Amino acid sequence: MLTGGLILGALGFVSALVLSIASKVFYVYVDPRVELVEDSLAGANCGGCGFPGCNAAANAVVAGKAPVGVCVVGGPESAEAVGEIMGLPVEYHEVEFAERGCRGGRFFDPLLFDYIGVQDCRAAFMIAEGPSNCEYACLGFGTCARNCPFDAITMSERNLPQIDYSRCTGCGTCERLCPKHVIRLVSESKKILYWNQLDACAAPCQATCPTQIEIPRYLGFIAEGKYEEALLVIKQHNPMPLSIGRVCPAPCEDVCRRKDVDEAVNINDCKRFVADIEYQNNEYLPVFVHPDTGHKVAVIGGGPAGLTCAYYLRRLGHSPTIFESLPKLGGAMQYGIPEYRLPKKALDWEIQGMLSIGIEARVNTVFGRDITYESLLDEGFEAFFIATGTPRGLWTRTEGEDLDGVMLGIDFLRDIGLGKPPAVGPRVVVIGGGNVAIDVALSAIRLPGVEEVHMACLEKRDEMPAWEHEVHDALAEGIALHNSWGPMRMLGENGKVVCVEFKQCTAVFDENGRFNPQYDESQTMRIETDSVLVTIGQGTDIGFIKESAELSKLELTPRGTIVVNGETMQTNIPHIFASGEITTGPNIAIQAIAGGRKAAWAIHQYLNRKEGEPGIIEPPTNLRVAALDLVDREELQKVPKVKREVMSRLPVQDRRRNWNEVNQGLDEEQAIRAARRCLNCGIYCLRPTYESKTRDFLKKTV
Amino acid sequence: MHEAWTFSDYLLLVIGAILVNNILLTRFLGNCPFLGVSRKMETATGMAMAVVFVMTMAGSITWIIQEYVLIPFDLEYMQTIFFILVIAALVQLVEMFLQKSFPALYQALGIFLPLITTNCAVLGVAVINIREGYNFLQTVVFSFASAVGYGFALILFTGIREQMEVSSIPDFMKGTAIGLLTAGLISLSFFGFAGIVE
Repeated sequence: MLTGGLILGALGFVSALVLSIASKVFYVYVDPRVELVEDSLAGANCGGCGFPGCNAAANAVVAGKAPVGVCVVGGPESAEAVGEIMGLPVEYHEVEFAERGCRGGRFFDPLLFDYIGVQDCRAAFMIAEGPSNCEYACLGFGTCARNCPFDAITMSERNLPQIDYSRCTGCGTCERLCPKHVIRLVSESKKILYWNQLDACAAPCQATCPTQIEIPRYLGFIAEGKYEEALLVIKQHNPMPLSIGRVCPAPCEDVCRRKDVDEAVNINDCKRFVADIEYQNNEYLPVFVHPDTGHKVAVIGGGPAGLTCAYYLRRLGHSPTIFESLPKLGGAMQYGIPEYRLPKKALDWEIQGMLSIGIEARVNTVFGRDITYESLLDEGFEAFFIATGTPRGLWTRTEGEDLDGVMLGIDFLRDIGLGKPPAVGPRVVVIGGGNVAIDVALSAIRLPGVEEVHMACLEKRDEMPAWEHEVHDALAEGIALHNSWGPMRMLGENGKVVCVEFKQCTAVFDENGRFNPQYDESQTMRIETDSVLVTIGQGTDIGFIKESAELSKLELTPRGTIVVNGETMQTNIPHIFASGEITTGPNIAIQAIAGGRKAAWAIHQYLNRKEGEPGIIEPPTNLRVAALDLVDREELQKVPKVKREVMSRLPVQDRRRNWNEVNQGLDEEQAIRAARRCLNCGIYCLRPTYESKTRDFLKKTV
Repeated sequence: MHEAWTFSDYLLLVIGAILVNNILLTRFLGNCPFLGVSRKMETATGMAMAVVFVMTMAGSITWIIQEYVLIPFDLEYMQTIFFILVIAALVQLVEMFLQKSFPALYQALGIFLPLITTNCAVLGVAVINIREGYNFLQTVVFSFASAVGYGFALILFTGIREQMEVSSIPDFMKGTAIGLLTAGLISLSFFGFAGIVE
């Protein structure tokens, strides 16, 4: 027994001796920093950094072949720790998360063939790129979910990958594995810089919206009661949902596929609903803002285009400053759209929220007088964005327009917006048949002392440029509408207008569809009046361009608008960009917002251009320009019909003499019902809430 | 002691160790890494190589210890503890040696080398060598063949598991459950070799 113990001890001793000698003989120098660095990495061996395992990444960092932020999973903390070990500064690296592009998946999409091979997307893809009919659809075999090193992906019951953002680290394993590129890594900046690509699962609404809001996505969130998520989706494309949700004519609803079933979804009303929740909570949702880049951009004009451009530039880390000539920001939305359509309290609240992420605004600052192009260059602004809109009303050029009591409708609206409504009435004539003319008429009738409001326009009732529902409202509120009458002259007494004489207009447009009114001067009409508000159109005010030696090199159209590239909003001077009505002429607000966002994209590219390049920005490639109409109409007929939600509105008798908001918005139940009506269309597919071929397939397989 | 062995005897020894008396599938030794590292072919081959290396070394050294230390000092009853000590020290030594002399091989074997210090299959082969009364050459051959059998079973099993990853399997069977079932079935099929070699 004793011998055994002794011999065992002796053997142990010999082994230890041999090992200790061996450790000297076979000593290999390992940089102690490798181990320290490896400890600071995530240790998941996910390969997100591009190195085979964390140890290899640590070796690369120590060898100086990889940056300190090599570990995408460890994020900023890891980068800081590694930076400390290596004594190197940490460069900012924006976090990216996986995001799924496909909304439909294999069960919504009529399949080309039944696939019964290996249940893996990569295998299925090898046969004619998978059984899916849609070239951009998720194959749904869950390769990403099985291979996610962090278990952040699960396959939903609709067989689409669902990403758990509390677990996703942005390692990119799923992106590398997905053969159809359905899952991609996306950072907040990339979302802001995104314009629909050819492979975007863009429903007709999303492809039609000028600013390309992901409509089915936010409606889906609303249907689930996730209002904050819905709002953040909207704000990636439109920073002003509270205001746009009230004034947008919703081109998206015109192309809604649901119209082939019953009626369009209340897309814009749903947007307003989620924005109203943020407003009622009186707390701005935090949004991602990139750390400062130090680039200064001058934004001339504080309307929707200027605000949007400044907002997205700020979120991309740049430092925009807005210069506005009037006392408040908002442009035409502040001084053009009347209070009863867009309460100024809501607008101001929304603008305040946009400024609160770090945008400087200088109001009461006239470009060309208080500041000039040269003075801004001296202040260090690297790029300019001009969005001064169409602030100048057009006159009819008829006799007597210089009389007292005749004014431009747009000036009338602006004065009301400035809080000093002009004295008009008791009888008022509005000349013009557009939407602004209706705003003028309905604003006039709300003023104290105004008894009757007439509206006269060249067009017939069905030709009027104003939208039908606006005309309908005007008639309901007691505006006297006179169609097919053109002003002949205005008569005055003691220099003050007392009467307008009209002549009959027989045709507004000639055979070529051009504006070329014909009159029958034998038919005339007189309207006795105290005030005339001329609202026949608006133009740009480019005095400030002509006065500056440098800016006068800008290319202009004969209409007085600035010529820009339609995708980049860049003018012929590379560091000057422009959008909004100064480039398009009178247009809708969402178009200005889209222009502002496009300009933010291009200015971002311009500011990040290579050293020494002139910076002429190429438009993004592979853009999806139009909505595809490829859906199976027969399928649509099977969708059960559900009525469109109707928003409650202020009764007509309650609208007189006050500025209370007319449209009351949807309540929560209505909004959810409205959002559930969305068919969740993709390019080809629809949500199968009804029996269909694809449904049969689902039953057969599972 | 056996009579002098012919080549065919050695061949039978090798076939017996790889197929008939497969250390994993018929003796059921070393099942932990069998389930643990059989998810990916890459790790499975690494493990198999490390096992071949260590098992051959350990089998030979323990035979020497048995023959020249334990038997002369009448210490056969302390066989297990001696073998563990020797195997552990040996693996450490081998690791250091490889790191210095064959960095590429060291990189390839990676974490698996120190892992198998505690593998019962290694100890099992060492003990079987003694129990069967093999001479040194037979010990080396048997240890090597057993290790090859181990690697063979592991790689076979990994191939099947990789295939299962992409097959539709009922939820309750996923993972270890179907892994154990499969291992059982492979094991059964290996019993079919029984009787080929005495």
